[in-house]
Amino acid sequence: MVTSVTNNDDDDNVVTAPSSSPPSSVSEKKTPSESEIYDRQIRLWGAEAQKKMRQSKVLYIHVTGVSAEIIKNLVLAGIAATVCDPRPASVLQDSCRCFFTPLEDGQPTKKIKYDSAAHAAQPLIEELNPLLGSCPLITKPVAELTEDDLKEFTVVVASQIYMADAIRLSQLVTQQQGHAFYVADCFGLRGAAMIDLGKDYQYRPEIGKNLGDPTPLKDYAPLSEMVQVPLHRAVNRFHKQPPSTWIMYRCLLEYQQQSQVWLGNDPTDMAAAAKSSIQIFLKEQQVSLSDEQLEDLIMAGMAQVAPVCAVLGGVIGNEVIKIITGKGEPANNSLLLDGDTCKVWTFLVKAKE
Amino acid sequence: MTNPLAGLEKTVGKDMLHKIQTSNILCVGAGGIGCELLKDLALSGFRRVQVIDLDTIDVSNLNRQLLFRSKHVGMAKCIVACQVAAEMVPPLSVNEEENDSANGSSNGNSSNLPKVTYQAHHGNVCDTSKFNVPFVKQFDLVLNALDNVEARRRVNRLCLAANIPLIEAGTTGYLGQVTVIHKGSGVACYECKTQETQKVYPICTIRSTPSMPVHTIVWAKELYKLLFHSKVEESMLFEDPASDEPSTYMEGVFQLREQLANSTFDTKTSKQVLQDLYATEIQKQLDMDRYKAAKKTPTCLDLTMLENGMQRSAPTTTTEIWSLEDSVAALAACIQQASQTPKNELLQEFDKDDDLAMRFVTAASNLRSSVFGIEPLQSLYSAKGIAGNIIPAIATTNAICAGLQILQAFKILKQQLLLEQQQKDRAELQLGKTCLYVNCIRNRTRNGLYLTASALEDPNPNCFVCKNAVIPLALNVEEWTLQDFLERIVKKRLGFEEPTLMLQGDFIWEEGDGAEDDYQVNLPKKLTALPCGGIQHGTVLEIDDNSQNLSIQVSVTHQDVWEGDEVPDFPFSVGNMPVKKKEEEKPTSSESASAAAVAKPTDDDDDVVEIIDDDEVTTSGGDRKRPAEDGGKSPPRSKRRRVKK
Repeated sequence: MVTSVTNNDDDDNVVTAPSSSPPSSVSEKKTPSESEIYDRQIRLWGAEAQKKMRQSKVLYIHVTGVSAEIIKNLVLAGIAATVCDPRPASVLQDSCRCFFTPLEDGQPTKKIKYDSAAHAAQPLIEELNPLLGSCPLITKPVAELTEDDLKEFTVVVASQIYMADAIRLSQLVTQQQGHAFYVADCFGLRGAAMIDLGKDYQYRPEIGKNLGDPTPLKDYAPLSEMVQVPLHRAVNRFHKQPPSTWIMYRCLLEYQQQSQVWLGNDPTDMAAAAKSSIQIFLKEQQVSLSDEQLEDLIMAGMAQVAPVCAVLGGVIGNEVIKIITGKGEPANNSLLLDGDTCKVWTFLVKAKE
Repeated sequence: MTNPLAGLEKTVGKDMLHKIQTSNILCVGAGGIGCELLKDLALSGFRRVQVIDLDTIDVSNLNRQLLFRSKHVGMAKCIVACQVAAEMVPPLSVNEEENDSANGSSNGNSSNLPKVTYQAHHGNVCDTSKFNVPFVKQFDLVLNALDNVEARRRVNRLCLAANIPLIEAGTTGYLGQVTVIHKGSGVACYECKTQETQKVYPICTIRSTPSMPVHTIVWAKELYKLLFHSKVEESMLFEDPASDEPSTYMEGVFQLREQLANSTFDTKTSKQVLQDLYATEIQKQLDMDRYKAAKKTPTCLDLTMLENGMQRSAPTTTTEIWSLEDSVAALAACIQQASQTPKNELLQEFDKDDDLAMRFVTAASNLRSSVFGIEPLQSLYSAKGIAGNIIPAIATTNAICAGLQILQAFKILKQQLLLEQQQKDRAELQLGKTCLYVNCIRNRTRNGLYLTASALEDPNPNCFVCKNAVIPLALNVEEWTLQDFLERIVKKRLGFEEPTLMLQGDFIWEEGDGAEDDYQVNLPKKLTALPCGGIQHGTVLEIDDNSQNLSIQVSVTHQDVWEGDEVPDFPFSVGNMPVKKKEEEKPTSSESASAAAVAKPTDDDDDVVEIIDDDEVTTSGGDRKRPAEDGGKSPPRSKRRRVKK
């Protein structure tokens, strides 16, 4: 059978998203309560943690495959989302394919012109968890976000943003103690996140079922410093060689900075030029990638692959919940995913003193 | 315009994308993991997917099962999931989609790709008439998203028999794991490790010597049945009033049941029953020196307190622990309410989602815990967790595990594609060096890992499922009948659906489609008295099950004396429920254990009671701390009680 869906478009004010409506039964159902909906997770992290989640807000800058996963995980769990994505709505359909895809799929839905990707994602996010009410948008360009715009968010998660913006935003966000900034990206079968928890970050370690006393983060390197660490020095006692996933991610950021376009979103005839510019960067940084890795990187660019986004999005979702509830030692200051070896690990990128 | 799958195509290659779009996938379960799998499959461009699930959508699913909304509560999971997921499949290109819409067909197959077909099977995967080896053989691979051992065992066997790769996953809270099972690759199967099926509590622990909250909760569930079930003998606490010395509470219970039936309810009767349950009967047992050797001596419920409690109004809090007076008040109020509830609306058995039943069980178990000095007392909320055996489940872990399953699926499809390109038989598929066993953990390892991956394990040479190992079985062949043996060992413990039993090449039992009735006469026979020489000490019995393509041998040892209450270790050396030696028991489980099941290994009158709750049952087990489950619910566990005298 090919599933078909009837959309109920009677109400002009309601945008019926394609993913929303198998014919629902007419019978009246009582509105479920928070404790019923969140029961299976409250039994894991407790009512106190759930309360903190309800009181916290997360800002998502750009909706991409991986950040859509994070939004889904956290909105379902009861953490309210605000979105800033001034890019055109069409980015949700092609390069950043994710499940927030309101405009297509051959549905007989009315095609709606959205002002931006944020506007397009908004009704879908609101639909994920009606308990959270409306999903506010910030419509200004990322480069113009101010401290005032950011201060109400415990966590800011950005994806596919320019390095200069990432550095500036990380500084603005972490001015408030306990607030955290994440940049998360997936590229082909790999993914990476940069994490800035601020210099005085404290967490409560989990010791069995109990919580330890507030503990300061052991090592801190701000995001601005992370991206300055020469790649050949991005090593530690467990990784004598710089992790190739980190090298690849830096290459992508570097290429974007140089060419003002994300690798993979550029015209394919640019591949040769991209390759040579990345090779120059690798040489400067005194590191190398295998031919195969380099080919994969150039080929895939910033491709968003659903299962890869799901894995990294899940891990970062857990991290954001740690930050908001204060429970558990957070990853610091990078998270790296290799979908081929099915490993995710955290890695401290910091210049040796 | 852009192709929405261009990124995936660039990542995995054109041929591989085509393989993805044309492959045929079975997803068993449409719950926590299942929803995530379907979303990933759809977004990755999979076009041919079938889903089996028998469950309906519950409010408590909404915190993680992304394909469902509150308006879907009560609807079949697989049907809603298929509809929603099918719409997430990207059109072949945005242009094409527009053309398709114009032609009135979605996702058309102008490029010879199959139509997008997400097919729902609302049913139980253990239903062999629909879901059997030929059914499984049509798929390129199977994804498990289940929440219980029984269904996992079944899918494991079907996939082994069909030689189709199975990608297994399970989650519990923050923990998860993913592995791949494939007969032809010579890797471990699901049953290479002992799976803990049910928490089992001896009956006398429940009836006489509780020592943990879970024991009193199980007792309270039985008390609920004793009072409200249409057949009073369904309760484990039931005693025949005509028997020698029935418990003191039975008289009051019968009076109360009669009043409930005739609408002549009187609160005095409920007070009398409570007094009998929590004081008179306890005192009687104390007087019989029943607790002389016990570590803790029970104390009767204070009658003044009982009196006070009866005057109070019932507590309303669900998260605070009720005082004893409050518990009395709550229990009395529940009985009162039951007396006013139309009979067809009153549940006969406990259900954790029924408010009356839950308040009843919370109050009744706490009163009993206080009598036996068991701590801690439980709030309604926490009692619900124990009584319903609720496993915590979150979106993130499910998303991670489902994502890992799809990454494994990519690896398998890639291997299959290579075989096709080399024009080799797909039976040559080897996954041992390709696929991985992945664990998702809460606290990173020393070198920073949150997901650890290792090679798939080797099979257990003693596995009776994938290595045809002979199963050693010790039991009393003089006491067991064929019927006991079939139900308790062959079906329940070995997971057979339609067993055929053979002794020295001759049938002694068969069932299933077309089975002859001739063997029915063997059912009541003792094992030793069966035809073909019977099952004796040293007999090797052959058991087949065509529905699962499984054939095993059981080497029987006669044993009639058993050490104490030793719980048999299954499956590789089965001792089982000895007829009798000594009635004594110790708790068999840890604090967090579920109240899901009760069984009695030994008892004077050879009663065997298995009570299997059909709620979300713990099904974890195995050395690797296999996390349990957040998948779709599969088979309903039967509620069974057998009494033979």
